[in-house]
Amino acid sequence: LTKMEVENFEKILSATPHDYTSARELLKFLRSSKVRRSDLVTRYGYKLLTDKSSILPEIELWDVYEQVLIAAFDTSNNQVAQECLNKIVRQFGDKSIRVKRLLAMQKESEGNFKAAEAIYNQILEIEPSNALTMKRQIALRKSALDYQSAVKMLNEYLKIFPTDMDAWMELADLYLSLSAYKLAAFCFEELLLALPHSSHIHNRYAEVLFTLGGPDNIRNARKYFAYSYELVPNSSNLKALFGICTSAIAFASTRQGKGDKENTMIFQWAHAKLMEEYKTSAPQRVSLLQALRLPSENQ
Amino acid sequence: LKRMVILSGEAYSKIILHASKYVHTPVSGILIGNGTGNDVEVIDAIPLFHTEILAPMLEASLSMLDEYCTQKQLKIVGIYYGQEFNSDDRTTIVPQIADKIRSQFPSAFMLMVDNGKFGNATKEVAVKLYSGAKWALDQNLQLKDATNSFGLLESYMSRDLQWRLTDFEGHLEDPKKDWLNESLFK
Repeated sequence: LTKMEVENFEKILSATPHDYTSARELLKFLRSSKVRRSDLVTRYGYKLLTDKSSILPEIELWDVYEQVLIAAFDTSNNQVAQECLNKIVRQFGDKSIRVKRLLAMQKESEGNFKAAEAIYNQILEIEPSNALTMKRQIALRKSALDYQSAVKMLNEYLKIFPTDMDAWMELADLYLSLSAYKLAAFCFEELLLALPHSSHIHNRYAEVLFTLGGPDNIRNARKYFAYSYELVPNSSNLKALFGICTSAIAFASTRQGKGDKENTMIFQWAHAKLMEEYKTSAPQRVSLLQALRLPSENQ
Repeated sequence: LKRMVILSGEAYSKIILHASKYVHTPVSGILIGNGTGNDVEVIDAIPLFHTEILAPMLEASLSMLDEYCTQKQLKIVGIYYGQEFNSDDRTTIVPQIADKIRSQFPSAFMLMVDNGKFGNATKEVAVKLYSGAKWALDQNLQLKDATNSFGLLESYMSRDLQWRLTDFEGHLEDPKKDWLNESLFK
């Protein structure tokens, strides 16, 4: 849903780039949804700030400056970044923690990790539990390819802020990048406890279980994919349907799963749903679905 | 007898566009083509993921690609991947997948996006080739019709085509989007 929203904004703004109201809406939307489209923010945000900043009330103006600044770091647009940073420092000085963090991020974007780290340490001496700064330190470790430190620090962070679901997701991704599937699974279990109605998390957990392998994990993967589809039973959740199919195929290849009637039935049901969907949305690809088949019972 | 991997402009463009669309996450995809004599011709790149590769969707996409290749009389010849950060040499499970591809196509290889050259991808080849038993760096990579291919990529990027590219992951959220990107360059 959020992706479609972004796409709509993109269409409007590329057709009418001076639609400052839409640009403002897009920026607001990106701030709240946290979708990362720094290219759009740099392009349309900077334009808004230079051409029509008067439509922004004071409090929103500085949020937008910060947003465009961070996006400019992201897209390596140093000129835009410097302009925004200058404006922010002129308005707020350079003594506040928030401004210090932005200055440190500029150091990061320049590759000056030592200087950035020094500022973050400074901030944490004043405010030891400043969450955003702790996260920047972890991001620094990632940029420096020091994954073991990033994992360690993220785990320490989560002891202090155990309800930060973004952090759990980040840790899960970090573990996956290190092929630490069991540890990633644990993160997804925490996420499932906090977000039991998330089809996305059910899918990811199922994917990790399947990757871990073994008949129990595979059968459980199938169940989590099925539950994900119950939560979101439509064409935006094909991952769940494909997940059911591949899990059922893998399960049917095990001693426990061979000939299992429930497994066969759920495979046929999911496969039929995929066929139905492809016939409407991707008719030229229907033939590819035939490649997904249960192993023959005689094997 | 040097075995060359000849990368078509279209395949090269799709890899770079995929990596451009998802700069902040690892990307991966499959390369399809054919063996011609001693060499491998890479005709197309099929973008798959912009998250860490996990087994279920990999198996689903590979099964369907096998079928697609049979229909087009092509073969799965390799895998490409890219990491978020420069100098990140983690290959995660990519070599295992490349091994699996090699069991069906003995000249299979890996292509890694070269983040250092990525900003200059329209002027120098921003991917590295790995091959052999231990997946060692291999210099025998050639961009087919290089001048033309670079020019095409330049025009695709100026038209922001990376935002119209769909990978398998994207297709799973919207089946109307074609993960084979057959009409992307038309």
